[in-house]
Amino acid sequence: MADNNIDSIPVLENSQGVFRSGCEENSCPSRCQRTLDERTLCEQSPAMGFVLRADLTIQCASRYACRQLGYALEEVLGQRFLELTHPSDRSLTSHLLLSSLRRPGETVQGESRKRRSDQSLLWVCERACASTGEDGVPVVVVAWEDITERRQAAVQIRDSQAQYGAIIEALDGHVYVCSADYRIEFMNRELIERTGRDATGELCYAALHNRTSICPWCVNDRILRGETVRWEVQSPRDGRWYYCVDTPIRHADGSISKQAIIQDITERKQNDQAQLRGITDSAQDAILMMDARGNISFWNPAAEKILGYTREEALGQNLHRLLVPMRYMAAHTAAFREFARTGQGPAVGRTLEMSARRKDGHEIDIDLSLSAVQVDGAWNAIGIVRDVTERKRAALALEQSEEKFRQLAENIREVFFVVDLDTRKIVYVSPAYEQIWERSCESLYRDPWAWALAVHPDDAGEARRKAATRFEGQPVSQEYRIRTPGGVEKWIRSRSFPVRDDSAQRNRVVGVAEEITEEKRYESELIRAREMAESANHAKSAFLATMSHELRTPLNAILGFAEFLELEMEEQKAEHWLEDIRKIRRAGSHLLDLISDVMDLSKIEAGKMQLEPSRFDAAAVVAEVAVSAEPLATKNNNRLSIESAPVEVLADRLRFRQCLLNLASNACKFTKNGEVRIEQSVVEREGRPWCQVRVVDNGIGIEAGDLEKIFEDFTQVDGSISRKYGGTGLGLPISRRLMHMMGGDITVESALGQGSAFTLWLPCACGPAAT
Amino acid sequence: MRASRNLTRSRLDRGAGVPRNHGGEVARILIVEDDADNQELVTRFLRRSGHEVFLAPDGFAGVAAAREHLPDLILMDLGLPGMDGWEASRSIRNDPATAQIPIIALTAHAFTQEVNRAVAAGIDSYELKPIVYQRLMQKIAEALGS
Repeated sequence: MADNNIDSIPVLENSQGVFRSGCEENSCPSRCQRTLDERTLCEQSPAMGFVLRADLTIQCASRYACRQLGYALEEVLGQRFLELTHPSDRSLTSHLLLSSLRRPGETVQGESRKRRSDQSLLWVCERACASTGEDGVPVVVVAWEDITERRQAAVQIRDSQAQYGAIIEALDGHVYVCSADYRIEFMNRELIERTGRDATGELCYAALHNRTSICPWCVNDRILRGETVRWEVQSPRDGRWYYCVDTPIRHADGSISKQAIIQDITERKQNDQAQLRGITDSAQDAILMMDARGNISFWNPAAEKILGYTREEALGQNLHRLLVPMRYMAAHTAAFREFARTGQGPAVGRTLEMSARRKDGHEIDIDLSLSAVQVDGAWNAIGIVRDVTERKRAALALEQSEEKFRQLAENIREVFFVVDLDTRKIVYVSPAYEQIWERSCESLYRDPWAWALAVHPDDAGEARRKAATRFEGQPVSQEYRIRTPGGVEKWIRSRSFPVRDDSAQRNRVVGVAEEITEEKRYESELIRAREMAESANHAKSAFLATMSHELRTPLNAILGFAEFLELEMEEQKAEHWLEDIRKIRRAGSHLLDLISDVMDLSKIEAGKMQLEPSRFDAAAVVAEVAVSAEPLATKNNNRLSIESAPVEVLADRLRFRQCLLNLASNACKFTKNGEVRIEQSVVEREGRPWCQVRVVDNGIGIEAGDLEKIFEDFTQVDGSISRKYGGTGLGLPISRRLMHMMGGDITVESALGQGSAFTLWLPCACGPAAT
Repeated sequence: MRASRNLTRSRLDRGAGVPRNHGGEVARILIVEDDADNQELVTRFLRRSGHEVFLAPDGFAGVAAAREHLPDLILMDLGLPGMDGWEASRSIRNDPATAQIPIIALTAHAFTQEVNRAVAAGIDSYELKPIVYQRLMQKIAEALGS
């Protein structure tokens, strides 16, 4: 430098790198001898600077510029300066440089895009100042300031502002932005219209609300803390509803403004309210609201129906006093106090079952769903009430019915089961299954044929086959044996039948299986006992028949041959043998009588005595017997007489004859030189006609004490009777039995030494018979 | 006129004993009886009365003998082995050759049922065992007489 005056040393003005010569004020190119200095500065300057020749080629460039652009200095020197400019901006830059040449010493500036070596762009603020070089040749000194960021930010701001403006204008509402100190920074068109002027810069509370102090509801403090606040409010001025949203806007400098958006939602609210009203009016459940004081503030039509009070009657009333039954009042009141304070409660946010009292005093079961809402800072409650009386009643009935069912099913000893025909699975099996099969019910639920696994192999096939028919809707009844896991064999009787559940259209089979092991055992025992009894019976019959035959057979010989011998001896007049043979005959005859009597009695006792009833004339039998008894009568020199009249009786003729002959024989035996009368007649007794046959004698008679004994068979009595009165002693017992079997009787009247009168009684078949 | 009589047992024979004429008719009587003692007894009594006796030990023989000998009377034991007395009687009745012969049944049973059965089979009368032969003889005389 020619001049070392410190003022002429070019200095950097500021960090933005404006390269200005120290002699700008003078702007006299001829006074500047800067060539060397320029180069030095170019090389060392921490700014982007160039020196251009008049032809706009680069004479020198700062290393910094080269570095920023990504070129080596050598590459740049001598190049056309405009090459560094984005093609679109070249005309601009060229214009700028030329105009600087035309006005040397004047700085001109412009903004344009420059291109780096890698083709990336940077925005610069370009300042050019023409000056004179060392050789008097004009040069242009150019300095670049990188304004890329600023440029981008500016674009962004412009964009966002445009966006913002668009949004605001699109919004159907009033928007303003005010600063932290309540100055309006922006008002949208609508607000301007409404306010009547653009009040930007004015205090918001003054301009918008005509107030002289901050609005009490102002939420600026919250906004400034970064909160967004939303609320609805009804304007006291015009009664319309507004929805307000206040949001913080952060500026680049850290300050925060409030953006307020206010929208008129009156109509929407009315629509909403109308819609809500529609909902609450049409709801089946009662919807009530209780305000902070506990009074009813809302009461829908369903509430009128369910609880009985009209809207007019209910609004304003204390809810608890109105609806809560006395006994719960204390608990409710306490809960309410807590609720009013905190908005919390055991019922809040839940559905509870409780009782409510209707207007008519009845208590109903209700489901109450409670929620809490804050209105103007106080806790209100909204309740939805459903009358569940019916549902509860049904549920109780179901519970009771299920309880009954369960009690029945779980306590009966029989297995109760239900099979679903469609799924073929067991729907239910009672616990008795586990008792009887000794297998788990679980196993049966898993496999519906599990029960069959226990069935005895011999019965299994049939059991399964029969059980399968139930799927065809057949009632099934069967018996089979099962074996428990412990090896115990049991008999089972299973009965099942189809049922149709009309309402649900389900096809089911219901059945009962019971253990009948004892029954079966009893049954088989009974069968065996009966068989034994039958065979014993047969044996007895056979015995009696055989004995009868066997006992008589020897008597055939005894009596037969004795009779023959007697005949021969009579002819040969062998008197000394005659008495012997007659004794043999008498003893044999007696034995025969005994055998007959014993057989008769045995038969009667064994119940084998078969009577063969027939209708016959009793008088005829009387005549027969008289004939048979005649010899006996004659033997003892008795006179036998009869008296009879025809009468039809229904009896066993043979046995009747036997009885009568027995009596007649006795009479003749126990009478000597006397009289035996057989008197037969009809007598009325107890309103019925009886055939009465009396055998009367005047013989020795019977001792009073023996009158009963004579009718007892010899098992009960010692042989005294037969010894006393002779005979087998069985005749009268047998006769009495026989007479009883024929519906009649034998009676006796007798006195010792005076004779006896035995009477046979037979019911008459009808009146006196026509013979 | 009394003749001494040999009291030895006689067996099945035709007219081997001395006929004793009691004044009644001499008849040819078939006895169908399986028991030996009963056979012997009834034979003796019949012979005493002078009748001729044929013996058959069972039903089949009885029916055959009836056909062969055409007796005047048949005494039929009802309890016979094989073909019983009822059947034999029926057989005899069904055969025209023998249908007219009177049959007296000898039976241990006194049931009306048995009797009815016998009557249905064609028996004319019956005697109960053990037989009182005097009564039997009387019955036979009556049967022969009619």
